Amino acid sequence: MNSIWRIATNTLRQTVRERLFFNILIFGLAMILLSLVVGNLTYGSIFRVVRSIGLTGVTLAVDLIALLVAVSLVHQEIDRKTLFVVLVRPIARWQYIVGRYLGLMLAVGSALAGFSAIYLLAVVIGMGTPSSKDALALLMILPEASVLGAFGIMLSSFSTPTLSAGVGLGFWIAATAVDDFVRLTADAPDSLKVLARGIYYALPAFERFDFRQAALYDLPVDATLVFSSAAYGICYALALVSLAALILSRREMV
Amino acid sequence: MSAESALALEVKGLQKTFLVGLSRRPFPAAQDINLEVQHGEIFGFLGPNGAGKTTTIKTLLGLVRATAGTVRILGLRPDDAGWRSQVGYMPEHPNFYDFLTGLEMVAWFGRLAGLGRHEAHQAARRLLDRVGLSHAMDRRLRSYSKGMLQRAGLAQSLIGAPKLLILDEPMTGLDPIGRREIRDLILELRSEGRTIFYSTHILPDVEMTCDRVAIVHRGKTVRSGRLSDILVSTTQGVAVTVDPGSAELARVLTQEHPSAVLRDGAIEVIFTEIQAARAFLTAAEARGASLLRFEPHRDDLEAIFMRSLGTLPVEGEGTGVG
Repeated sequence: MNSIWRIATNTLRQTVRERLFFNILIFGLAMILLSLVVGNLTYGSIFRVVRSIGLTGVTLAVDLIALLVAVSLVHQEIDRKTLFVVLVRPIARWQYIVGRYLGLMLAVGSALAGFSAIYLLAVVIGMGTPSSKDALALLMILPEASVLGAFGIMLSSFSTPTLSAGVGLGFWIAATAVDDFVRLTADAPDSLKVLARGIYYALPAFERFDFRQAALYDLPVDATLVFSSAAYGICYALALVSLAALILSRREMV
Repeated sequence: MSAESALALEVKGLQKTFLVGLSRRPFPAAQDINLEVQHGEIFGFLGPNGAGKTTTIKTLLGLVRATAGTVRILGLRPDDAGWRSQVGYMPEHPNFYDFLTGLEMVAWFGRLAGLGRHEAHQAARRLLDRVGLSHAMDRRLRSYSKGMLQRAGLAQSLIGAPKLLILDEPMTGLDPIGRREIRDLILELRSEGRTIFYSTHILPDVEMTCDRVAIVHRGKTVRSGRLSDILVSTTQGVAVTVDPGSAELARVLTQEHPSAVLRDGAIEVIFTEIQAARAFLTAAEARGASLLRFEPHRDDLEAIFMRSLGTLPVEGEGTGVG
């Protein structure tokens, strides 16, 4: 456990120094600021615009950090041979993967905490009152990002960052749209319906983590849905991290 | 158990075939590597680029799996975790987390090796001082030169007091002073009872440090054994060096013996038969020359190395793996 923690804290230090991480932070901040500007240009519903654009911006930024940082986390270490020296120490390959993932999620969590504070400040500036639904919408970004991060690490354990980023972005878009795909094929021929169902079960449904509408319109939220969605995300991420560990344990360090 | 193992490293009939490219074309990086490393010795693993040295090292460390053959590290299989706390490793061209200082990096690897925080920092300071980086230990690695990174990598491999050190080209990138310091350090480590196995192309370093060597070429061990035995086994006649005393006699002797070499005023002639050498010496002394040296003539390691590489037929082009 100590080895995992050491790798995690080192990964956190490494990640927050990445230029990519910094650039996405700037992007997220720009989105929140944009929400205030656009909100001020809109008659009567400034806090709704701030919430809509702000929450979307935070979701995009946190998801991008999770995915784009993850896709190079393992590959880069193999490429630079740093991993060879680490794996010769008394540490199992699965511990290394778990440590890298944990470090990534610490970085993602830190970014989300920072964005959340700025978003809530923006809501106050936009004449709104931060609510528990805002907090919930922000918190539920974490399971979505944890799935994306795990998918990125899994790809990184066998593929190049560029290819992994492309596949990862495709996965992200598909996982975001999978519920719509099932709905759109409700009246389609049976073969298409079966295909849609197959995709639905294979991909994570990111709609489960989206509580932005509840924050925007102050809709009631079912606590069971929240917990089951979070558990679903965590289980999905764990499965992907396990797969990454399995791939790395079989991989030759050429 | 590793403690009971008679050998620090053992490789028998190692074969490793990589599947290269989209077509999964087989490339044999190691075809028949054999070596035995005793505890407490310095073992030099020699071979040209692409000979299979790094592949052998990676196989020993469990980073790649052997296609065939037996590989043991401290008596254990590479996939057995039992040896890991007793082995230090430095790859060729080490590349560490460049946002860390030298001290942080070495201490971090110390923590991975199981040392406590204070113990790891103390050991890191001591080791960085030992490899000549005490002045730069608080600088970030990104500001280190290639040679400094090499030294930091060596310090990293030493943390946790491993009894076996595996170093892949440890002298690469070092200036002559740095090479000498690392050579001295390797000799010191042996005197502490550690085993050092290192690969290199730099033959003078091998002659100055190694007890035993193996020469590999195109994935095969072509020669191995005690360095002194290898050097003695290549004795090829007798070298006689005389001071001719005059330019005239020097001219006469070099005319009579076309293989004679005139160096710094002395003449060296090599004979395959000792009787011929004695006859030359007697005749030269009768003409006024004086004896400087009369000694067995043998190849240096470079000549042995080059001859060893010439013993195998060319079988195809390498891919760079290995």
